[in-house]
Parts: sequence; C-alpha cells; structure tokens
Amino acid sequence: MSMPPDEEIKRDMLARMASKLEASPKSMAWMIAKYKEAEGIDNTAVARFLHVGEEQLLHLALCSRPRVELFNEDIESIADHLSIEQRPLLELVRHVEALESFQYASQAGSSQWLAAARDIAEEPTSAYDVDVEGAEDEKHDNILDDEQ
Amino acid sequence: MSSEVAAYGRILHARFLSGDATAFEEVYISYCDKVFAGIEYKVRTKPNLWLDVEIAKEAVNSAFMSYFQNPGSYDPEKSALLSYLKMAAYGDYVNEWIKERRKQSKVVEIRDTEGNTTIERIEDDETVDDVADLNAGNLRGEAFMRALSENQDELMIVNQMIEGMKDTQRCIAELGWPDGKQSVQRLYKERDKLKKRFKRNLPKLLGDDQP
Repeated sequence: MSMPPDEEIKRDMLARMASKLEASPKSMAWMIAKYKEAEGIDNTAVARFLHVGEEQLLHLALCSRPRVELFNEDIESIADHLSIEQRPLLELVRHVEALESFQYASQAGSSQWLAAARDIAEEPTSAYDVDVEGAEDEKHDNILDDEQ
Repeated sequence: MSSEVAAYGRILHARFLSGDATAFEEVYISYCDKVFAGIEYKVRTKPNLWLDVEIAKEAVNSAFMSYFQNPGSYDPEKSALLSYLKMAAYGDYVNEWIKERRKQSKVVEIRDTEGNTTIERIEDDETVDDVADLNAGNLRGEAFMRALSENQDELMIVNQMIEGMKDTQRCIAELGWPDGKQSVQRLYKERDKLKKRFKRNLPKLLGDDQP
C-alpha cells in the first residue's frame, strides 16, 4: 500500500531534518552520526543495534542530547517517549561521549607535547648569557693586561 | 489559532528551554505538517507566487533548525509557537523562491550563426552595457547584423544597445510593445540573450576566426 502524498512529504522532511541536525552537537542526530562514523556503519546497522526501526531512528535523531546533570533521567525519558530500549541507547551515548573526551584529551595532549617539544628545541640562548660570556672574556683580557 | 494550541506551544517551548530531551522532537512532529500547510495556504493567496514543494520542505526545516539552534529568539509573549514557526518558514520560502526564480530567469537560449542553440546562464557581473562599449561604426554592417539575428525586434534591440539607449520605457515604445512589467522583463531577457549571443559569436561575426 502506498503512502498518501502528505505522509511521504512528512517522512522526507523528517529525514532531512535529522540530517540537518547532524551539524548540531546538542542533538541526538549528531551523536548518531558520530557513532556511525566511528563504527563505520550506516543507519540500518545503528537501528539494528538500538533494536528500533529506521523511522524510529529518525525520531530519536530529533531528540536533544541528554543533559550531563540529568543523564539517566534524560535517557529514560527518551526511551519512554520513543518506546525503545534504554540499554543500547545508553551504550551508544556513552560510547560517543567516551570518543569525544578521548579526542579532546588527545588533542590537548598532542598540543601540550608539541609545546613541550618546541620549548626544548627552540629555547633561545639568552642575550644575557652571551653578554656574560663576552664580559667574562673581556674581564679576563683586562686582568692579563694588568698583569703584563 | 485556538488558545489550546497556543498553550500547548508555550508548554513545549518551556520544556525545550529547560533542556527536556524530547521536547524538540514533539515540537517538530506536532507542527511540521501544519507549518508546511501554512506555506501552501499563504502561497495560494498570492497571485505571483506558487508552490515549489522542494523549496517549501527546505523552508520548513530551516525554520525548525533556527528554532533548535536559538530557541530564545522566539518570544511566547508575542505569538504562539506555531504562528512563529509558520511565519519564519514562509519568510524563508519567499526568499528562496525569489532566488530560484532569478536563477532560472538568468538562463537564456543562445543561437549561433549556424543556427545551433544552447542554453546558457547569464552571470551576475555581465551587463548589457559592455555591448554598447564596442565600436558601433564597425559593427553595424548589414551582413554583420544579419548574422547576429534575423528577428526585427532583436535587431532593433541590438541597435538600441549599441547606441547606449538606456531608457527602458523609450526602448519598449520604439519596439511597439505594450506598456507594463511584462515588457520590461521581456526586454531585459532579450538584452541578456543578445549580449550572450553577441559575445559568443563576436570573432565569427567580425571574421576574426578566419586563419
């Protein structure tokens, strides 16, 4: 049975909205996109992992990302609202969050390493050191002159 | 709009602002078809506007995306959430629709001296004045004009362009076309088309393509 045209338009719009929201880290669409990217999988595989249909996955994508301070409550509320299982949803979100913090840490880490490497490699000899050496030589020469 | 709808919108908005994870999905599912229908309805009431489903879909989603990114831009004191989204989507629709029309009106049919036709785009930085800059004396030989076009109106427009005649109403009157917006649009399009044809065939028209 074919869908009435209005339903087709609505479904197409829903799919496009989900893909638009992938640009916003505040959305579940972003989290799903990150998960797909990390795992190298497509929507069908994510839907299978979450035990949901592809249409339900689009609805999930339109939800906001769970708040840090109300994480469990938000996961529960999303799961209840869309009638999906909590556990795989929780796993997906935790997985992406772990990737996110790992990425952040490795970026910060690598930039710190680079900064440290630069400090060692590029630490300039201070002008003071050069002058002191020169001054020491001059002083030494003067002493010799005095001695002569 | 009923006060119930407005109240429902206010609740959804408050939930979304407070960070409720499912609020935006509910806003979208409850309103997206109504926002789309709002565009359809408004377009029907405007004589010079018609519905482009693809542009309408995009406009609806742009309105929701703006709301998702910046829900604070909606003031529940001023209007219902649904009215706000409808207005935003309609504004986006009109802008995109006009942009698309402009793009299409800039496509002209070019005929070369051998009678082959191609469809070309007129770029924004191309102006018909360039044609008038050319040395009119060398370019208005009978054979040259015949090679450019055999249509009397077109030839008259080329002459007007070469003479640097810029008064649109005078040009239209000379051509014997009726007054009005349609003739102005037609003249602009003809000028663009001729200019493109002129540029494309200039070496051939001047005989510069001969070894």
